[in-house]
Amino acid sequence: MRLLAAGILAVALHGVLWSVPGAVAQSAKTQIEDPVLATRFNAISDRLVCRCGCNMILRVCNHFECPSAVPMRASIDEQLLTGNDDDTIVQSFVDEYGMVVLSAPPTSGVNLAAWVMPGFAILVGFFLVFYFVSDWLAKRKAKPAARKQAIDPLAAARIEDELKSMEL
Amino acid sequence: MAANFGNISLSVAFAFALYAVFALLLGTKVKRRDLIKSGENAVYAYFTFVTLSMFSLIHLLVSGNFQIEYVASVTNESMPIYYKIAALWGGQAGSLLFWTWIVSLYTAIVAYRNRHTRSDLVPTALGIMSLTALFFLVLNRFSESPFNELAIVHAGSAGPVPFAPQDGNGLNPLLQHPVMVIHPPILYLGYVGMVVPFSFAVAALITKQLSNAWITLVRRWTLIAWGLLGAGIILGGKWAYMELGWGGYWAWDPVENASLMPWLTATAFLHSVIVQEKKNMLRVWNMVLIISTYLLVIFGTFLTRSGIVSSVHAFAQSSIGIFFVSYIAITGAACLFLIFSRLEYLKSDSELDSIVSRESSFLFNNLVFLAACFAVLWGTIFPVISEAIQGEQITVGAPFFNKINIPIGLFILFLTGVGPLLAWRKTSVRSLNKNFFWPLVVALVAGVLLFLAGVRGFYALLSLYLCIFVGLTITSEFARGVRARMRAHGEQFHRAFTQLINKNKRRYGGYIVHFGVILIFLGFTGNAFNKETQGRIKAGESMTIGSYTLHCDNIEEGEDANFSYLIATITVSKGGKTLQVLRPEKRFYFASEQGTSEVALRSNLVEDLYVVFAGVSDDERAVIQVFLNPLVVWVWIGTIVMVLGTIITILPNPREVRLRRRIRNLETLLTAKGKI
Repeated sequence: MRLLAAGILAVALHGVLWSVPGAVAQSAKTQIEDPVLATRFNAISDRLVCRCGCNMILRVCNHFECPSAVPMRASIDEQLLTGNDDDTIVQSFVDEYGMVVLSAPPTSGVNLAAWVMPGFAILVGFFLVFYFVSDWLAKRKAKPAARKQAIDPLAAARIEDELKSMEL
Repeated sequence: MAANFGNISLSVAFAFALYAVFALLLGTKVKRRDLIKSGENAVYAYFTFVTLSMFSLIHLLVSGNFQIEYVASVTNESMPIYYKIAALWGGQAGSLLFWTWIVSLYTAIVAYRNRHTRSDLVPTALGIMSLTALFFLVLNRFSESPFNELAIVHAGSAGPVPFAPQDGNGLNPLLQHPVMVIHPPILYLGYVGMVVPFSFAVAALITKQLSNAWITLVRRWTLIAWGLLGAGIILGGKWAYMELGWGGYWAWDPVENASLMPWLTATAFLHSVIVQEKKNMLRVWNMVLIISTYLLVIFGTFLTRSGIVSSVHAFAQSSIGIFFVSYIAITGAACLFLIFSRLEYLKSDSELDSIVSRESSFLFNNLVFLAACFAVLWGTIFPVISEAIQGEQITVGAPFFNKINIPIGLFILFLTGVGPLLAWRKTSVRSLNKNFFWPLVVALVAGVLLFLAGVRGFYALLSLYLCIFVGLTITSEFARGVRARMRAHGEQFHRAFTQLINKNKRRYGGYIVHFGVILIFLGFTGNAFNKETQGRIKAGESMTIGSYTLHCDNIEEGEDANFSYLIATITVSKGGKTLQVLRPEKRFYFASEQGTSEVALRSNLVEDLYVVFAGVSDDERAVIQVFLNPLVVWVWIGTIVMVLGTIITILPNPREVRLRRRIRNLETLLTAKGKI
């Protein structure tokens, strides 16, 4: 049995180790060959959405000769090669299309609420869980006498019988 | 003729549903058994008439009666018959009729299965279910009828005259995929199935029968709906993967989110009812959860159909949004009122022995599921909120949802392994040590090995680590049970294994579901290692990705009645050895003048080689996009395991079967003696 378990574990581990490649994600959407700039292209195009109406992330949009994605990607390539930093490149698209071109809300102004609210909700949830757990634990401590009462011997015998009759 | 028949059937169904609501709720209130019985008959009657109406529409779709606006908008002559039938759920009005049919089907089944039950709970629940059916019948009959005829006004004519185009627009080409024949029905069955537990919960509140009886009655219904909804969601992912051609299966699209939210709250409900059953705790909370699930179902339907958010899945913008908003507001307010007015009955003498216990793990489980649901809901509606406040549109896309939900998802995965192994009341240090020491150590060693093997990325590494840890905890739980049976009953391994599951289907079926969750997370983790490339090749040329070489043998073109196509025949090889021939396809549908890509896939347990024929370049070469997506297949395998686990959990235990047989025998005996 143990040998079988060890064998299954070894095969599973070998499978996972063998199957997971170590490389980072690549993209086919840039003409840039420099791997550092290509990685930056991926990061920037992940921060933008295609404006053709498909609502896809710019790096993901797969429409053939998309009238929006192709020039946007070319513009990123061009700005990367001229030495612009990532934020400047993204801002150039915001200036052209408005904030709707960003794939996620900016972390300022009213839009900050988009990021803060889920975390706030989790915090409130944790607080409520701890509140109720503390309350229930307190109730439990307030009734020690009742707990210490001996179980009725007849009931104990019945429980014992039922436990014995139970199968795994 | 068929259109008139369908319309009249809808009107008759509407009348019967109205009567059913009245008869069932009033009959229960005044304790009139004859009125309740007549209400139950009205349920069968409106189910029958909705069915007749639906078949009238199917007949119109299949026969190609283009005088009917709906038929002309979703079918054409050249579509195969199975897509003509699938067009029933391919448009707004037809899918709403299908929704109504499923509600009425569930109502009729609940009525039939409980026809001998004397409790007030069942007729009240049937009344609530009929109320939902009535709401959708109102939409079908008075706002979005699928039987409207096309009419045209000629110059000089007195009024509009009937008009039938030569051919229809055809079903959206993206929906002309085999998965679309089964994905919407399964998703709808799950989605709409949540009406059953909701109705019983509200019935329990109305009748003040707030013991655990309603939970026992709806446990299987909830599991069926939950399993179907989960399978439907993943089938939708499979459709997106094979049809949209962007290399992924989940894009956090608002309509995808709409189906995920009720699934998350229903999952929380399925866990927290266990606490109510075992410890009589969380009674208000369970009410809140199931009511939220139902409201999210209606909200999701509203999102899909109102045009409030843009989505690849959404139906056309229409005026039915106001119906949904009103219905959600009224239902939500009524449920809140009911919960507050019944708080006294819902009180439980709750107490907890220790924070390290199964009970508290369920609380945290509920917290993270609700947190995930809230994050998805918030991200989905935030563009609307932001536009209302700032007057400027913003986008909330996949990067937002991934950042928020990946850590929550990993915490859920962690609890999947830890929660079930904690003891009720209190878990001792010895028990913690026994259950978790070796899984933790082995997973840690595996994590280090993965790192040394070159796996990078914090979340990817953590996810793989947790998959191994949780997998080991579940496996060790099975191993302990099997070993105990082998020792106690002298059984062989396979016999002990099957009997272990058979004797406690709920517990071990649940573990199998959890095992499916691990496999799905393993598939998700593969996303971190995706690669893609794009090439322009013609016959005789090759391109490479990873260790694969793709050689283009030829490009053929042709057409059938529905579309024209280009197919690239590509031979895939690795290290000089030919592996497979793939045929990605580019289609152009005549009726809708839209193009689609039919993906070609080489899939194995390690990775998917995903090939898309994107188009033809100016120099007449095929533009081929290739993705190398590791571990994707585990998402589909995990789903199958989850469905299998759900089925096992739903099946009755041998003891339950014996009890039911006794009850049936007793009923037969009493009926024979004329006592019932």
